Amino acid sequence: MQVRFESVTKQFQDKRKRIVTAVDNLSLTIESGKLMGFLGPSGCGKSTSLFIIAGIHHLTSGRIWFDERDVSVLPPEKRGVGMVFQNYALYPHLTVRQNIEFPLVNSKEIKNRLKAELVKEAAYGSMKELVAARVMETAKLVEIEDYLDRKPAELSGGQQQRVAIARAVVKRPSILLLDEPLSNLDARLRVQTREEIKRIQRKIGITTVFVTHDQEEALSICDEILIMKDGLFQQAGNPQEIYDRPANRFVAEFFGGVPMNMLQAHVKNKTLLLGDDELRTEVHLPDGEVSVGIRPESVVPEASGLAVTVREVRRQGGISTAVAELRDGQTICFFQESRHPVTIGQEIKLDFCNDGICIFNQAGEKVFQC
Amino acid sequence: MLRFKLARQRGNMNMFAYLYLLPAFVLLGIFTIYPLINTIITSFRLDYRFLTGDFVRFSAQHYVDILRDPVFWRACINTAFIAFICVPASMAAAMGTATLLHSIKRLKGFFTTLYFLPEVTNIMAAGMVFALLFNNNFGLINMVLGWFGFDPVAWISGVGIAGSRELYMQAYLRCLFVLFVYSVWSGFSLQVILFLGALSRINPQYYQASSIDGVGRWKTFWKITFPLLSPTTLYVYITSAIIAFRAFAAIVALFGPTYGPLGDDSRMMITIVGYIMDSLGNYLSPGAVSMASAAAVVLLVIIMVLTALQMRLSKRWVHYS
Ligand SMILES: Nc1ncnc2c1ncn2[C@@H]1O[C@H](COP(=O)(O)OP(=O)(O)OP(=O)(O)O)[C@@H](O)[C@H]1O
Ligand SMILES: [Mg+2]
Repeated sequence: MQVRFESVTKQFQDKRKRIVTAVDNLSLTIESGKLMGFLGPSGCGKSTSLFIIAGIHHLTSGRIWFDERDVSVLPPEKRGVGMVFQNYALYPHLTVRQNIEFPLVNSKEIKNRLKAELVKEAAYGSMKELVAARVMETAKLVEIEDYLDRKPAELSGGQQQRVAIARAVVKRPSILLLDEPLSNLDARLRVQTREEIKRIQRKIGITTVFVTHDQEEALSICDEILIMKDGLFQQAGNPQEIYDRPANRFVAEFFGGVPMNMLQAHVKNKTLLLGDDELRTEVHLPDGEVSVGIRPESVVPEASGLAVTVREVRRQGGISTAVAELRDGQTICFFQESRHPVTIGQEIKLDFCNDGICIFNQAGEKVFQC
Repeated sequence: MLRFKLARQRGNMNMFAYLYLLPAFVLLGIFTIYPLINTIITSFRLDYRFLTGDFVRFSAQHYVDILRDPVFWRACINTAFIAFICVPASMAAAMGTATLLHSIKRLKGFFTTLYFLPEVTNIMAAGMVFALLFNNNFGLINMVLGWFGFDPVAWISGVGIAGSRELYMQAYLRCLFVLFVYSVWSGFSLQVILFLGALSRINPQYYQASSIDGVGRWKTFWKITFPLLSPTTLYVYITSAIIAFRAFAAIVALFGPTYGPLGDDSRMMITIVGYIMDSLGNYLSPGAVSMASAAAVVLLVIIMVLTALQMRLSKRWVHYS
């Protein structure tokens, strides 16, 4: 199912009666069957946007569409979404089995749907059998069929997380919402589980929204990404595309494992100058001060180019970075190749990849890329 | 060497711990353990005289006496009525009220204060106010009944019941009703506060999850809220029941020093503590103090057995997270 935000705004009133705009005039389309990531720093409105899809929050203004249906005022239970919460919200007093079957046995709507299925499919003699079969099928999907009689507290974080997914998908929702589902897991499990989520999502082909503040997570599993800041839309699209062509300075600095280099430069007669050094010509911008963003991997030591002095060499596991000082005192970070290692104090020359330089104006908007 | 030192230090720590606990132990010994043992011994002293301290011999005769005394049985029934009928009723009301209060946004503080008021009201004063509310001639309850065209009810009255079993039972039921209303009201406030606290500790995400799943309010209460409240429910029940078992002042305030309405001479509304008090009041007559002690021991045994039973039962349905 396709989900569409149409100029959606959500405001809260905090304890001191001040208005907080959690989501500000957001328009966005999430294509059917895609895995969409909502990404942004803490408090930017990711969870709120998710809750808006679920129907837990009412809109201040705007509309939400599921395909051609306006669901803006539809209550949560009528929307047919499944949700995994930030810390799972598994019912602690129920076993894994009872948790998974909870929506099936306690919701009138779902029960009615199951009754209709029971009539159609003769394979199951009773409601009980059908529910048990559904629970088993879902448990197998997320590979927790061995723990069905345990309580959530007796499971590891990763297992709990899979139970939460099972509870969300057992009712066969048309949209799956995940609110930072991996934030409670350790680094290795996190990588493992995110692949798991991707696998499950592919398998059932469900439109999925995945909230995270970890850009690597988003980059690795999402088909599409929305980046937000202070409730405002920043950029949406294919993750690699966003990485390569950030729309503004915030996205450029936020998105990327090793932060993007940000240098002060200026444009004069269509030439981009860093101090006295010429970086690029044919820059079609008016004269004046600009910020220049360059990803570390776009910086390459070459025979000719920007003259710098190496000041620092860092090794982090397999990756080795170096920090060099420009003539005007600014610093620039780049990856060094193991075949041509640099040493501290060495004077080298740096060149920049094609399309590797983003130019931002004083307001932080990207005005040129070359 | 280091281990030895650590061990010695630990030993010192323990000694210090006991040293600090000593005052508490001493107080506990003087004011709880000693009286307890003394009460048990006294209960077995036949015809014990309080002033001189002499008695005939050790015997269980006074236990036989109280078990044969219809007034003692009346006291047991009334006490049980408070503990097993009034307390659960007030808890149910408190749990419902707390759930509603928890779900409203406005005026929450105001209502919470309102419900807390009985807690800071003196038992005697509150009991007397209740006696006035239910007063036959100018009570508020009868006035309201009058507005709706009902005849006034003689709530707390035993006039003319002597000799008629039926009239006696009717008077008794009316008094039980008054006691019920009073007990529910007086226990209610603290229970609401305790349940409100427990409710606010329940993760709101459980409710968001159940609303997404389309689980109705009623089901959500029984399947989520109620089980998650169970530790508080158990705590509230045990503490409230123990308070109920010691009910005395309220009875005197409601029904007077003879534990019954005017015209009744059977001590109709007496409780076990009332029975103990009455026996103690007779301390000059031989055996009265022994009898009071025996009744106190019976009460102690009942409370202990019930508490143990509750603890055992609770293992099955109380969920500790
Ligand atoms: N119920 C609420 N009442 C008042 N303000 C709220 C409420 N819910 C969210 N907010 C505010 O709205 C903003 C966005 O919150 P939201 O929970 O969507 O952030 P988030 O992006 O999910 O952050 P995190 O990564 O920390 O989970 C925050 O400033 C928050 O304080
Ligand atoms: Mg959040």
